Amino acid sequence: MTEPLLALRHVSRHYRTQGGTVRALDDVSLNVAHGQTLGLVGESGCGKSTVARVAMRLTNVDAGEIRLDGEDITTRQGRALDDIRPRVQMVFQDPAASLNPRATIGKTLEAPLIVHRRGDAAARRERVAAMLDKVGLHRDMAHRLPHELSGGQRQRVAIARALMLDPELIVCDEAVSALDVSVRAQVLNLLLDLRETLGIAYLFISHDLAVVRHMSDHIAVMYLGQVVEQGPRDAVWHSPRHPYTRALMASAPSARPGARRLQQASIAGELPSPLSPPSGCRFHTRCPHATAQCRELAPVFTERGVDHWVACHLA
Amino acid sequence: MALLDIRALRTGFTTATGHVTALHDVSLSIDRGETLALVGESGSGKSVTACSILRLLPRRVARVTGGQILFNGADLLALDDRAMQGIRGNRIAMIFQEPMSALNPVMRIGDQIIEAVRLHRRVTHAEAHARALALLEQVRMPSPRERANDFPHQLSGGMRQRAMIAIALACEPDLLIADEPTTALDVTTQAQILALLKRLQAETGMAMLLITHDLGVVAETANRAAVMYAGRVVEQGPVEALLTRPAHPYTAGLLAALAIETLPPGSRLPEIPGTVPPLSAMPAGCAFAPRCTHAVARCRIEVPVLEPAGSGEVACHARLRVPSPTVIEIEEVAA
Repeated sequence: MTEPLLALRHVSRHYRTQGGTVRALDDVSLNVAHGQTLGLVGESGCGKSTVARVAMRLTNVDAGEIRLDGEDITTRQGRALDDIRPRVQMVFQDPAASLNPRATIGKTLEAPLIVHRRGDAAARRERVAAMLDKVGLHRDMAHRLPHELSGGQRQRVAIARALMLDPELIVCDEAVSALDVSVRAQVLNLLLDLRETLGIAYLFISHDLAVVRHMSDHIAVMYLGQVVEQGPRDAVWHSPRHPYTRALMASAPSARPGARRLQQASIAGELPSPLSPPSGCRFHTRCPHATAQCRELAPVFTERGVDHWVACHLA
Repeated sequence: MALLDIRALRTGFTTATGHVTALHDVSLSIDRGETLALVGESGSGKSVTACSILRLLPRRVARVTGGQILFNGADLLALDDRAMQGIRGNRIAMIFQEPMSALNPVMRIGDQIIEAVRLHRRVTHAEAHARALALLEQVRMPSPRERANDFPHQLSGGMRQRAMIAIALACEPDLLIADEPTTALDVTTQAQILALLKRLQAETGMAMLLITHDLGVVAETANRAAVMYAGRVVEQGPVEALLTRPAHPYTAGLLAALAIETLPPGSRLPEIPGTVPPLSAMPAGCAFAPRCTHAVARCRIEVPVLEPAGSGEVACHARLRVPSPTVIEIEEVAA
């Protein structure tokens, strides 16, 4: 089996706060294959964005290792990260916040080329123009400022910036969540086109299951700092095995008339504090099927179908 | 007589670059006990409509320049400030998208409910306190006695939204305006809050104006829906009909976006090209025409008005006659 492009192996990341230790990630293992998309779903506070920061090497880990194309990059620091940065880029949720409001679009797109000393001024300008074409924006946009653009156009700029250094992997953290639905489809289509033409892999993080299903080859579901289910898209979508995955799917409202099923579907209770996660299976406080075993013993991540992994005593 | 009857409402803003019209002759009505969903994207005028009803827009820059807002037959726009205060929070209550910014951060939850009760009712503090606890129980706040003593920052997002709903219900309003009440919440919490609103409505018989951009939420909760685009109602009707047989190309486009639930993964999604025009640069004719694949010459000249169509109304010169194929086929997600 070939090495995955990005691999997280038993990664833990704990943040020490005044109130105690937040176990943002606890023994998380994930793979993103070359040219493929791993969709990561879960609710606020489950650790999705910490996975993004770990994958980007924007934060250190307390345990475990991170491999890029087989190479251990867990402890790289400073300049040693310079040859990794171009290979892994990121698109954030809110382009209004992630673009410099005082830099023209052209300056923003040129910056990665300057930092990594690619080409002379003329070559850089040409590359910026070509990239604007590629993401479906007019070349004149290079002279505009972010506030002159619509939300969808700004997100195209953020994607263009991520593409400037020909990355192998783009981490998309809720990249379409701030967009109106009529614009969301445009941006998703762009991401799909880019994967098709450039062979880019995505770590696609979203709280929206329908979007994750559409974009992903594999899906991982997180709850309170742990991956509870992971597998090929169709397996997870059509035969989810973890009660939390099933609850997530049942909670999403559908516009199909007659598909009204909120009363029977939703799970009760509140998300426990990551400062003191429940004993045993972390989902047991909200799980309709929990047994004594679930309250005491943490389930082991086990393969229950072909490459379909679940952490549940009852799966 | 409808509980709320908005007739040809026009609201405008004065900006640094001149006057813009945010609402163009918006007409809506809500019956007692009914839920009307107001659907649209950012900037379509949904929240301006809600704030116009409660007269919450900043006077310095915003002005209602035409129309009537009849509530139980009386025009809210003709009331003086004092009379309006007697309606606001009492007969018409509102909940907002972000409970953290709508709640007072330095006041205990219980006290905020007591304040709402005593503003409109002559009751003792003890009576208001008992009412606050009853309300927290009614919105299924976990451990209501303890939570009443908490400050907003000590609660989860879902509990904060429950607290805000409790405040809104304090005086048993006839109408609840809910502006994107679940947009900031996670899906499992969203499902809980939507179920709560439905249950409360059944218990109290209040009407609801539900503002949302999410057609899934519309399908789950509303009887009728009005779709807004660029400050105008472009289509309205019973939810079932609107979602299965949209007559306006914009409604159809919003519905087509739901195809993401059913299309083969990785396939091209139907898009609505372009973006919503800014208020200061509205095209002549139909505001949707530049993005509309069905537009005809007349669409670029003459603004279409709402006219009866099927079981609802639509404002379109090129209305769709074929049922939208995308919605009917949506499969049920495995429960």
